[in-house]
Amino acid sequence: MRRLTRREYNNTIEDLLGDTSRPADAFDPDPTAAGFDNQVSLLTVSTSRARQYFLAAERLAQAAKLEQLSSCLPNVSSEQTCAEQFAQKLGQRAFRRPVEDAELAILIKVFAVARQGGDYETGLRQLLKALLVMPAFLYRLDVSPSSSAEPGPSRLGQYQLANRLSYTFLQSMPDDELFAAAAAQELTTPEQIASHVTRLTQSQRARLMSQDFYERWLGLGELNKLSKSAALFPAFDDEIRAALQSELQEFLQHSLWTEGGALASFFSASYGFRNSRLSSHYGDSAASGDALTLTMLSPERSAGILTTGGLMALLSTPEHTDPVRRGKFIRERFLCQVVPPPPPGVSAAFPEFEPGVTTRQRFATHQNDPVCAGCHSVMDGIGLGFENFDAVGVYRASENGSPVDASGQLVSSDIDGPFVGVRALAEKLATSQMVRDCMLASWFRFVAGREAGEGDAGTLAALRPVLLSAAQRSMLEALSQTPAYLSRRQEEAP
Amino acid sequence: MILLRNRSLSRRTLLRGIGGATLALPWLEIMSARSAHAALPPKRLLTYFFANGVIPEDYECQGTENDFTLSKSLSPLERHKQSMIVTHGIGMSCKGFAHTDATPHILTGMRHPPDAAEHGSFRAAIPTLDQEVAKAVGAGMRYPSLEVGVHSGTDRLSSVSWKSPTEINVPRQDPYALAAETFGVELPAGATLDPERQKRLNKSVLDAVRESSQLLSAKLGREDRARLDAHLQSVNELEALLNTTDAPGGMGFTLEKPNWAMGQKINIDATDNIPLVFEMMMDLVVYALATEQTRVVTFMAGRSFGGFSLPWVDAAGDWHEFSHQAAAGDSGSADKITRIVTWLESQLALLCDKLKAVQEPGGGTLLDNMTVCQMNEFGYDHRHRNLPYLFIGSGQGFFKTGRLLRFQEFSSGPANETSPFPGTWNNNVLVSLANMMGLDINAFGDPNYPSGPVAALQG
Repeated sequence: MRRLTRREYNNTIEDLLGDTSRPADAFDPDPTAAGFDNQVSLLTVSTSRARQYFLAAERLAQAAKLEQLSSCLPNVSSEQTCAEQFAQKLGQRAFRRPVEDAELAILIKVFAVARQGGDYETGLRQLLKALLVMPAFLYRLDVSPSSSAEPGPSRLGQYQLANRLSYTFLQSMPDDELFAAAAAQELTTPEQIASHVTRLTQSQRARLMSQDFYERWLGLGELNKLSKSAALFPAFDDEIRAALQSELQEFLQHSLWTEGGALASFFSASYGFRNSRLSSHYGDSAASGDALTLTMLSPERSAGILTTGGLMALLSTPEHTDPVRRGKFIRERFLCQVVPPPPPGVSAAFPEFEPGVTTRQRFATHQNDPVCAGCHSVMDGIGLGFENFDAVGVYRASENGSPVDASGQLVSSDIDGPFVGVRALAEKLATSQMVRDCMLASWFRFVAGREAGEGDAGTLAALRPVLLSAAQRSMLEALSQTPAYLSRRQEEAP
Repeated sequence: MILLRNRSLSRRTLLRGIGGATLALPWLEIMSARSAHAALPPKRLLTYFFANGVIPEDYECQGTENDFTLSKSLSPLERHKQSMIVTHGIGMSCKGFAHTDATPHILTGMRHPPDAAEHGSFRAAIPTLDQEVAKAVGAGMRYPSLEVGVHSGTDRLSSVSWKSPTEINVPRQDPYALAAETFGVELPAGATLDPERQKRLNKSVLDAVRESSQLLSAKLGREDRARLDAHLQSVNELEALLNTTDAPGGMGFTLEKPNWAMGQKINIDATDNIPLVFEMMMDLVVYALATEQTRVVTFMAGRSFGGFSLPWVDAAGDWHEFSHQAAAGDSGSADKITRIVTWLESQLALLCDKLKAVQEPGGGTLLDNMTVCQMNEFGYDHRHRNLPYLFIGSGQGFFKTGRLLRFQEFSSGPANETSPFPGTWNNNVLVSLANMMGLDINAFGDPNYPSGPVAALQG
């Protein structure tokens, strides 16, 4: 039982009623854990939230175009018949499964109360309002009133599976094809399921889903707030910030959906996306126009997501590169390790910037002082490998008059050892089992709405080789075929 | 549309032109039904949180209890000096991992379960004090408690308020969305409503929720059933709210909206707009308090770790980083922290101006009838000692204001589990705030720390 997130609510309302007003944007924020806003245990309904649902339902019901939602004419058929048809037809879409008799009776009662003292249309709008505040609408449910009474790990029903697939890939209610397949019991064989998954992954909503995943996993939402020192980077304005954001999204979309999301291309691709503004920002290409186009880049100066200007700029201060932040990012996001903060009383001073001194020299204390080195060797050693990319992500061969030394060192991982430059780091990351497991854990958390537990070991074990031999896209397809995905989850002991 | 009885409020504009040069202050007078009674106005509590501590040299005030000068950091509060109590030396009964330990500790006074420190799991040890107060004084309010924030995020460090050990009250951060609720929906011209019919319609919809939930409940596992039960409890509370025709938070406000709520929307995420968003949030909070939509507010000025950059006081960049650098002896960073703190105190002063501008029926200004308590996760250098607790507003004379109080400091460790630690701690502050709000308690949080209020606050 998962309450719809704000995004899922907005999408579902759009698909159900054709209403694009995004009412949930005004709701209380959904709490996040590890960046994800779809974690089941946090998606509670406070009184404030209940009020927001109630008011949104009122507005939506008033604004709904009833003539498009109901073709039954009460002057031809009886009002009761028409109201029942309305409840059944719209209810099936709102609940994402057939409305059961007991539920129909409840809805008709709402209609009748409103019809008393109001007109037919008022009755229908009130019925619609009720639909939009009922748990069967507000939650992704794996049961219906007629489900077998014993909760436990049983295979999902057809409509329940249709829901799971649509909310996984579209972050919305099932589309017409999924409804039709569920009604015809055609979500049964692996081939039937696979063909729907293939279809769903080609939709625009799937692109938005993966964008949501990457933004949350990697914390890319922070790009909205990115600003740089006007003195040092006078050309860094809102337009370039937005362009860097688009570039990053375009790269991730292309890497996942066109290339399949192999770690090799994710980390090491030697192409990027450029328009005229980005070309002049990087000074590495000659793209023209506003539209982003795939552009081949020098392999020495590019490495997939790692050298995108948006990421490099995000992992810098407004003035300078920040090897600590860059190293910490790789540790936490790609290796799923926790780096403790500096203990109280220990100097965590950011070394002063002095003319003629390189960033590596500024950060030398972290390596030379044993108190610092304990933690910083796990971060700075990685971060200094990025020194060829300045605080706005532009390649540099020298810093303050000295040639850049981009040598780095990985420790406490399964890819330990020295490396020089981001490309060498990327190649290491692409072969790391720890990185693959981290990526898998992150996708699992996003799809399942919770952290993987002991009971998920089998599912993860089945997906690990897929991510190794193939890529993220295949892994998602394989995920939708695992026994756990196809079953109602048995609750774990508290 | 749910339309309740119009509130009898003046039609004066709340705020003249946010972003304009004049942020004029006296804007709201309440001529509420309350004025018919001679009873005292209700008391309110507001906690104002910001992160990363202060610079003691710039923050600490000189002088005696009744004759003192405000420090550089507190200088923006000069005009509220007689309404406030400055304290030095209160500690936080919290040992360990700096930010993640402190944030859920400030309003619980109790260490969260050790397994909850990592992995982004959301846990507080107990519901926070503001929630206990809300239970006592907030029933039937539109917001039993209201949490707002500016650039606070949505994770477990976004708020100091927890409804239960697992439910964090993520602050509302979109002033436009909040304004739509708080300022109310305007009645269409000439609209009439029949309250009895409205009540019937509401009941039939909510009955449908309850009855359909009943059908599902039996099919759910234990966890899911608990989830659904909690949802239904919220629905019942909502119904009580909708059915109180005198409900605070009725939808029928006819107040003019402030200019910012009507005009072109600003980008609330942009760093440059943070000062404007602060003021918008203050307007909303003051309005909600003045119109009895809530009595308990948490105002998150940022979040644990800071949360935003302040280029307008020449402190662009990472506020949290500055605090570490300052502790390491970098005077430039210490100056940045002081500029940040001074700016945040100027915001607090502005909030108090707005609270003071509300004349309450039954006596006093809104500020007189409440207490604003400033809280921080640290004192200085990520340490949980000598926290910059500040109390503004006497809570109807409960606290004796216009004073500087110094408390003997004690280290918060090592732990001695058998006897209470000497000293004055956030636990005692929590008891004092609860007592001010009329809750008869003598201890809150970790029993290893001394019980009782901070008696000196009452003079």
